[in-house]
Amino acid sequence: MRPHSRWSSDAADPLIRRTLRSWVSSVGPPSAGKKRLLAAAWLASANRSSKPKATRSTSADLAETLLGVVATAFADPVENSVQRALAGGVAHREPYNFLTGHVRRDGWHPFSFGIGLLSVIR
Amino acid sequence: MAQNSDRELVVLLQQGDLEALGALYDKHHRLVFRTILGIAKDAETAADVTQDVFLRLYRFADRVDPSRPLQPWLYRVAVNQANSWLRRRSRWLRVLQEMAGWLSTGAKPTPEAQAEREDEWRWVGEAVAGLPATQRAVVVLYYVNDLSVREIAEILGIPQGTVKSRLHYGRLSLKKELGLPDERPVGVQYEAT
Repeated sequence: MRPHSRWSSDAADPLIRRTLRSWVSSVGPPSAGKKRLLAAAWLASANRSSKPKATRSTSADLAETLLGVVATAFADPVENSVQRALAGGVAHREPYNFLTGHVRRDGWHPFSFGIGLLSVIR
Repeated sequence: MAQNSDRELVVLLQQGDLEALGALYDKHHRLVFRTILGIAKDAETAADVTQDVFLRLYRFADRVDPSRPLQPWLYRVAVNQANSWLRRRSRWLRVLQEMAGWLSTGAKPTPEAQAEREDEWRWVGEAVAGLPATQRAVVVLYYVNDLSVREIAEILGIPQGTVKSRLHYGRLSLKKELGLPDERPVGVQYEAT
């Protein structure tokens, strides 16, 4: 007899089966379970169908932001304001000069902030 | 609607038909509830997790293949959700038990707690709950849901040998807890997995 074939012929199996089934049958699922489920599913489908509205809202926000960028570009003729506005107000930076160690002051702070942030993340 | 086959109901469900969800719930909620009750022991939890299983069926209906039987999918999700619940609970339970022990040192059990302890089936639930989660799922699917070793292996995505091993050790523990004689033949060894 193979060891595993005993599984179907163990004398205790019917008793274990009967005991466990009686136990789980002694407690029934709640009668209002179906109503609860359908209400939750309806709510989920309502949320799902309202998502395209959210997408439209995001598109509108994007259009508004781009309009703001263009408006800023025209309103600020002194610098290359389209780039400036798109970069979130960070001006063009000169590259780091390894010989002099010079970094333009307004570029150094974001740079050092980035290094600090990376250290914190690590 | 209730007379429709699972296949037809799943197709309707994929089109967002809530009535089909209700019909599938009517057909299968008992087996899902009992499976989760067997694993989680608690009826209230079983009701919540059962609802979660059917909500998942609704939400991910497009991932269900209507040409295949639905029950294995339901069993798989039920076991996974019940195990997730057990994991979440064990995390919090440790903290709560420490707090409860600290707050109720020397307190007498309440009449409600006493009545609960005397519950007719409590000892069976505790015997099953005493099994490791991996054995518990296999034991419930085998004894409560009457599934074969091959079906359980497919549902849980584990080899049949692992199912047999878990059944063997689960049964040994249950026999001990339920006070049944152990008739294990000498020389039969199973690798615990």
